[in-house]
Amino acid sequence: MIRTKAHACLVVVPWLLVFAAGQGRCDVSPGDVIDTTSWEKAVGLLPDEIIDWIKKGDFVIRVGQLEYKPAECLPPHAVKALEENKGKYTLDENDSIVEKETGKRVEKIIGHPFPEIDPQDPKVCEKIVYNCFYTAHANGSFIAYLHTDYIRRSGYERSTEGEMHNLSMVGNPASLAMENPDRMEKYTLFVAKSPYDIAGAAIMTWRYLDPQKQDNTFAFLPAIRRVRRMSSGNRSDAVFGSDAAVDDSGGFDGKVTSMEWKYLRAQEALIPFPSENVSRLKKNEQGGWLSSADIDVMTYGHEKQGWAGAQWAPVNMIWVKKPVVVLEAKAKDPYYNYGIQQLWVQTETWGVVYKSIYDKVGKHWKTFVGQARYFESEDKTFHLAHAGDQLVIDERANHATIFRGPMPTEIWKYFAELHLDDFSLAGFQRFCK
Amino acid sequence: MGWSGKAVSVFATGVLFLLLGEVAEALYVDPDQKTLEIIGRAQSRVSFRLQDSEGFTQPENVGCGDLAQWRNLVIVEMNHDLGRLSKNLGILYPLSALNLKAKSHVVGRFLYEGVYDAGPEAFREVEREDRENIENFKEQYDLWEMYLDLARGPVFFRVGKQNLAWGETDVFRLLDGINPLDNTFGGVFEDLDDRRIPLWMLRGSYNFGRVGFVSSLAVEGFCVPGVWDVRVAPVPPNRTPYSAPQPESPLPTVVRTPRKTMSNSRWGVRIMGVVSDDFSVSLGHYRSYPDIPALRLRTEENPLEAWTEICFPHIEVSGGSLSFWEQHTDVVVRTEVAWFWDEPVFIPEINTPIVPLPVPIPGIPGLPGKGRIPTKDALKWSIGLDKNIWIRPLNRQRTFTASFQYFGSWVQDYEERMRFPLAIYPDATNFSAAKAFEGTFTFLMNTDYYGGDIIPQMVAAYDVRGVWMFQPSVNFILEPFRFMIQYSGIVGNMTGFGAFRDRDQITFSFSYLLN
Repeated sequence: MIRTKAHACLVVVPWLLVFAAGQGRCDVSPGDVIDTTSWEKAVGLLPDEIIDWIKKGDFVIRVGQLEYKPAECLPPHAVKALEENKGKYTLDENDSIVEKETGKRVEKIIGHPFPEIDPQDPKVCEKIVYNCFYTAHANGSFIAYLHTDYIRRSGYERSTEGEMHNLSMVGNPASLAMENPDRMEKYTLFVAKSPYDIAGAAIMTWRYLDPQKQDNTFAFLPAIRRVRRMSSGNRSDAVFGSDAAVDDSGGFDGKVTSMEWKYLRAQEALIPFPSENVSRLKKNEQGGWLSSADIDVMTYGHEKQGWAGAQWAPVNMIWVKKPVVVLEAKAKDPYYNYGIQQLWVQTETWGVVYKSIYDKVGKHWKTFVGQARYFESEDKTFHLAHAGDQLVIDERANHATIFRGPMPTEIWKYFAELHLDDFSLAGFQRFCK
Repeated sequence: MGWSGKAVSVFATGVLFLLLGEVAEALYVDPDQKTLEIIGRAQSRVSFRLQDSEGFTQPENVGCGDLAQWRNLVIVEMNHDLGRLSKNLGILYPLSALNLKAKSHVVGRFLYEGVYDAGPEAFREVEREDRENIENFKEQYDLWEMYLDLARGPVFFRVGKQNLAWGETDVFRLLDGINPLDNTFGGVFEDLDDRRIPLWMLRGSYNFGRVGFVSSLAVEGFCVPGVWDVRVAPVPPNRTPYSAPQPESPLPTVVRTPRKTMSNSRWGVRIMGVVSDDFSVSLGHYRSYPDIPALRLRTEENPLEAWTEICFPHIEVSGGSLSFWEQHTDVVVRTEVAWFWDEPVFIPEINTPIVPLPVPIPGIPGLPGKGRIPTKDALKWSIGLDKNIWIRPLNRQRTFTASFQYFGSWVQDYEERMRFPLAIYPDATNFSAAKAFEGTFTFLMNTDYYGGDIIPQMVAAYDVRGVWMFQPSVNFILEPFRFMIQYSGIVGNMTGFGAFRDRDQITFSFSYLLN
């Protein structure tokens, strides 16, 4: 009898605990403001450190509702591919994308390769990360004018400016027409524009399709006036004095194979959006698409008079409840500066929205907050989804870096006409002094 | 204008910068298009000697604590993407008709060296005695760089006044000897790039793309037509703060620079590419002029009418470079090898011969003879290793960047009589010996703290002949200002950079950036 009661307790108590936990979590509704008095409402919907910041008054979050469906705001070819690519591809033992039927490596994919995700799949994390990469590739090649603000707890510190050219060799219709003799996934080129002491510094990265093959990185430093080979392994060190490492771009920009992945859970989360509405896209003469000058500008604590929270806190974003999956990554490189990283990936259009970064002994160190921007053409027939503002907060250093997305004076160009020659050794020199 | 007037003009320019640069962003004339950008900096750099002059260093009466440098520099840079303008401006129509991407780059440089006005009496006296030369030397207003880029597909041209650096080495130059270096204002203590002198040059490249196992295969060439530009590394006027120590010579010195003729052109060509997706390789050949001029005695028929000639014979260099990232150790390996054809050398008996007197006279070793410049082929090589290292007890947030280089050289047909043209005090005829094999190590390490606002750096060099150079510095950033404190010191033998072993200095630099 005692045994039966004990057995009953073992079965019932956990359910009671789950029920109690569910009752304890107060859900959020559009219009809610989550601050020091109401932070409990957002517990579980945000990474723990953000809840702590809300508790402390560093962050105040305004819950909102979108006037559009993000999943419908991908380029037409990517929307189509969400259906067409279902069950079409898988990963081989090297984590290369292969055709499910034939096992042959695929180098020209349009849209997301893995629209359907199975949490039981042993390679589910790798597939999710590939989807995130292909969200960017779906927008073709792009030119971004990057404005970066460096913020201390006491306020604004300085800014840098640069220009990034990204040539996607996969994921979009234009890439199908391009020859890819070097078997690249993408070429990236960044040129610093200001301040003067870094102006002219340029970095070019070749990312190979082969997941086992490391990037090639070249840098031009005005101080030495030549293109120099760089380490492609140093991906966890801060870049240009910012709080972000190379791998933090877009949440995660390393090789899929550089991490040991673990699928933690699927859940709902509050994720940041610029506003309730889509941003406007304009077509240019070359057939590409431009962000517009009337885009919503994100405001941060240091820019708002009377703001009492953290100087880097976003103050005019809206936070909307959306489905996410949470992954855990641990670098295979023993010298990697981060310990465990937890990535929160939104699953409507695939993108990293949060990354909690822990040090080697498991203490929280940094947090990445990524905002997706959704664009629509004036006639509402063309859409695209791309990274908006990205924020990296180094809690230990009391410092943050804000990587601004498109702004009224920083017009980004999507489906831009970029040429392979510009990303060669000789072509790179055109961008150098 | 007196020195105070110059200082005021530099100060006024600085104020202008302050007014222009209220925003911490590049200044765009067309912020919506960002095609025309203006950036710049104003810098004042002050160095104080930490040692008294010794040996043959002149002036003799410059001592510890004396001002050795007060360099005021204003640089304004304009970058213009002409793509948009070429569609709207008739004169640029050919650019759009030919589908050429065009960009222009212009740098204005304004320099005032204040040590001859505000420095110790010894340097003021130098100016009084050599006014015209020093006036030109201390004030310069130049169109420092000005070039036009033209590109279409795999073809790229850069035409105008520019710098071009080949090879893989820092500090010492092997394949990088295209532009002359200005060692007059800060000598070996200055950054290499600050010392480069842009030349009027035509440069072009063609990208072949992938050819077999070589990706990004390209050929690049340059030409500095002799009728455009034959400038060479300037020789510091005697007794200026960074001139090499030389004994007082009874003979006049004549600096003979190359004449403006096509036969004096600089030119070069190289091929480059990435082999097997891993190894960056280049092979090239160029013709240029040496940084260190050659020296010889010249006489007319009458041996009493003699002078010392400093001249710049051509050098031709063939060589290659190889660099790669070794992923197991996370080290970037840089190697370079160069063969210097007919490089001028110094053999006192040949360059500066003394003809014995028919009748010996005490105190007079002989009469100056007719010198010539002997040459030797030389092999020079370098291996460099770059690595980012975590030293967490010193910096938990950022890596340390460490760069190590070894430079070696070997002279074919070496002669024991070969010397460096540096007289060892107190004997004006005793020159530092040159060896068949020479070697130098360099080391650089830096990191940054407080989000990149404080950047300590250590630079060291060691010449195996027994000379050390140390150059620790700290840079501070307080936007839009930059501050730097740097110590420069040399200890060791009177050879190579050891010639400047009595010039230890401390430098304070203040810059304002027009971001």
